[in-house]
Amino acid sequence: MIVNPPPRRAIRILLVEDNPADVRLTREALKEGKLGNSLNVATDGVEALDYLQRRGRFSEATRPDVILLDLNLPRKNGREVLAEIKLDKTLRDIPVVVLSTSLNDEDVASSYELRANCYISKPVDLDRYLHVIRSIENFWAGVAQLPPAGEQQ
Amino acid sequence: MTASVVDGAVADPFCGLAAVPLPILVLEADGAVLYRNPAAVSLPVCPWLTADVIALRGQETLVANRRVATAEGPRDFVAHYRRLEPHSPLAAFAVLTLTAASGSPAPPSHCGATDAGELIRAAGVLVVGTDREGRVTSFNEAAERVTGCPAAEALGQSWFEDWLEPTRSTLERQVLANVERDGQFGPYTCRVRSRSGCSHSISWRTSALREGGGVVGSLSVGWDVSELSATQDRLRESEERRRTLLASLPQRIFVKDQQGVFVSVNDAFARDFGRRASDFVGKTDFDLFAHELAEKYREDDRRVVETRQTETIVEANVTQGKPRYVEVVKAPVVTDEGGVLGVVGVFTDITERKLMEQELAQERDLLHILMDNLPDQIFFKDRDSRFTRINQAAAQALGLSDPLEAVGKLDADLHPEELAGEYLADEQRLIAADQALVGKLEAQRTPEGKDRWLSTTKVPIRDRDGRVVGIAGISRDVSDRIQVEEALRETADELARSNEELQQFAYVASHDLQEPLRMVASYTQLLARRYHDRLDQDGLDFINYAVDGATRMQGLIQDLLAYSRVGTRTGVFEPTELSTAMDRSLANLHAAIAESDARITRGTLPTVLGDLVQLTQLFQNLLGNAIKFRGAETPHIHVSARRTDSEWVIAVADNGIGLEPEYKERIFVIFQRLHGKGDYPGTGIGLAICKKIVTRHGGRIWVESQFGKGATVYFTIPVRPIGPANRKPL
Repeated sequence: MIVNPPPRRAIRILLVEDNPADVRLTREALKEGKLGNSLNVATDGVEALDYLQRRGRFSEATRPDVILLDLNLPRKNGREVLAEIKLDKTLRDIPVVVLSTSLNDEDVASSYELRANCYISKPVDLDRYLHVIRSIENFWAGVAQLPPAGEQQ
Repeated sequence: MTASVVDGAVADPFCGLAAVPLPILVLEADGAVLYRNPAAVSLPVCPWLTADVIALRGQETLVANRRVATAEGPRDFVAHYRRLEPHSPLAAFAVLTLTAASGSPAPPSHCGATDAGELIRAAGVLVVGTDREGRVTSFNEAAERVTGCPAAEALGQSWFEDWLEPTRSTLERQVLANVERDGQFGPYTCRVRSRSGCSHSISWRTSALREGGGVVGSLSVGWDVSELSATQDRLRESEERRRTLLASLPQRIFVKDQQGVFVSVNDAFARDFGRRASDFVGKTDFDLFAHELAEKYREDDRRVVETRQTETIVEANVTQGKPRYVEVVKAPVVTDEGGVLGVVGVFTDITERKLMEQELAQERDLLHILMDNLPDQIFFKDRDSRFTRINQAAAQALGLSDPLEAVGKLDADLHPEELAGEYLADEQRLIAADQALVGKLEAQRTPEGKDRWLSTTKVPIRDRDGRVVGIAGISRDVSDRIQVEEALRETADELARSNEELQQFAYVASHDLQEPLRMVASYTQLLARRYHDRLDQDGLDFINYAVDGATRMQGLIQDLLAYSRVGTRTGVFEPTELSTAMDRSLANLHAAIAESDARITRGTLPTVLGDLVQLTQLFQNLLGNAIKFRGAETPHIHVSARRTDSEWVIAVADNGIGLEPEYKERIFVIFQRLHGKGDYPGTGIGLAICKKIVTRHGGRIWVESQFGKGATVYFTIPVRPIGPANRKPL
């Protein structure tokens, strides 16, 4: 039993996903949660790293609290992005949730080896999907204690 | 021959005989008269001489009664033949002494000592007369000379006791008894001692001295044969040694005279005929062999005598049904003076050698046949890798018309440089290491410039001392095999590539297919969620169908992925407890078991070599099916195992709906379903996966069932000894 649930607060989410329909579905799920969390989207691996390292047009980007990372991405795939994040001292404390349709053991195992914070497979069923997204939201915004704010704060 | 007869009047080596008052003839081997003494001069031709001389062969003496036609009419004689030793300095064969036959009147003037006295004295013939007691009554000059005793002193002494040795009284009795009885005795040889200590060998003939019809004494006539005797002793000795030597030799040895008459043979020779050596003396080849063969031998002998050349003749014959080979060396027997006395022959039985040679020759012939008819290239080289010999096939491969052309050549003379270099390096290595090179695959350029593949084996050749003196090699054209192997390898590579692509495809397809499916399902659901109040029942039904379809599609894809993964897993087989696999599968099936209230029991399950994850999957699918296809009763599933010689048979028996026997095979085929989706959901992949897993474990899977009476699925797993050695990747 949770005696003192931590107060809910809005968190910044970076979604790395190339499929607009998927992005929209995630947005819809977050919208239904009505938690007011902010969502930024990078549509491929290179863009995701540019965003995180504030390169080019992302020089003003804000550091996300949580990263939702798809594995199949154009240009640089999810594993490469994950590896780079976890090698970067300034980024590696950001929780990364791998979101993939793959149920392949190897995909799961390799993600954890690359220090993913968790691996979640996308359910086909909408209700279950919505539930998954809300769970992520709830966990990181309401249950987990995020690392102390970086230089952004 | 008669022309050469030497008459007694002439001084010659036989002059001693001239004084002897008995007719004496010296005869040659064929009976021809070489010499006659004066007493024999008046004798006419004696026609029986030749026959007697021939009869004398093989014996020392011969005595025969012979009648001679004289001017006074026929007269009977006793003919005494004495064979001369072969090595006698006399080139003669026999001495014939004629004495008057007993009973006939004594020849006038022949027996009286006084009559012949002068002649005898001059001739050095010893004449000793005795009385009936053996006391000396007359003693001539020659006797004085030999004994060193004056006649005056000798008279009255016992002749036999005092002068002769070694037999003395024995001899005396013998001589006198014979003389009394037969009127004569001899010839006999005994030694006569001289006062000076030396002794002489004297050949004696003793005749009776008669007076008034009674025997009054004896007259011994003797001539000195010391020199002859000494030579004969030496000869006998050396002859004895020679005989002993020859007798013990395994070679067959014979000596024949010029006329082809055997003079002596050794024991080995005689044994071949099953006779004694002495049986052969005096015989000829005509007595021993078939006429034709004897002719041939005679001819051979004659040639050897004529040409004086030693000949080696190999003769083949069949003895007791077996082939026999004899090598004969025939050599002329040549005297110091250069005369040819006869032929000596040495036989060596070379049957064994000959048979061995034949065997070797046969083997060689076989080898030649093999070498020249084998399609394989065969070659021999020396230590420097120069060809010493090659076969026809090798010559052909090198573009040579004759295998001899290769002799002395190096590979570099016959092959492209890079190939020759490799051959040479191999050979020098194997010579240095004294180790065979077996089945080496090497290229060869054909005379037409094409490449072919050879499988070559080269072995060191050693001499009797074990030193490597070269190499022998054989090469087989394996181009066809290599081509087939290459084609096979290509096919296998291609298969592996296409398999890999297929796996890749299955993975990518299933992964990438799921994304759009998710979108379809999610958005239709979102549509229903947001707009259900604006849709009629049809609209909602349609959306349901769309969602259901997408969901099932995703199930199919998941299962397909699982199916393809069974083959891609590259795990190793470990000793795996089947009960562990079953436990895990039960855990995964927890919800279904709880929901169906299924009772699952098991017997003792073995430990097998396998992949735990796949065996878990196997049990999960089989138990899942058993629950899914349950009948009206509460499901009861029993898992058991029994062992045959080579495998475990696992049975999963249920009390479910079972199936018609005709579907027994079909249910293991991918996507084959027996029931409508409404009744029993599923993709039809479960049992196909089971089959794939069992097959990968080296087993079989089958089902036994009657519709409505439950089903039992059996699968087998081979029994393998469980140890580290069996942990092989599969």
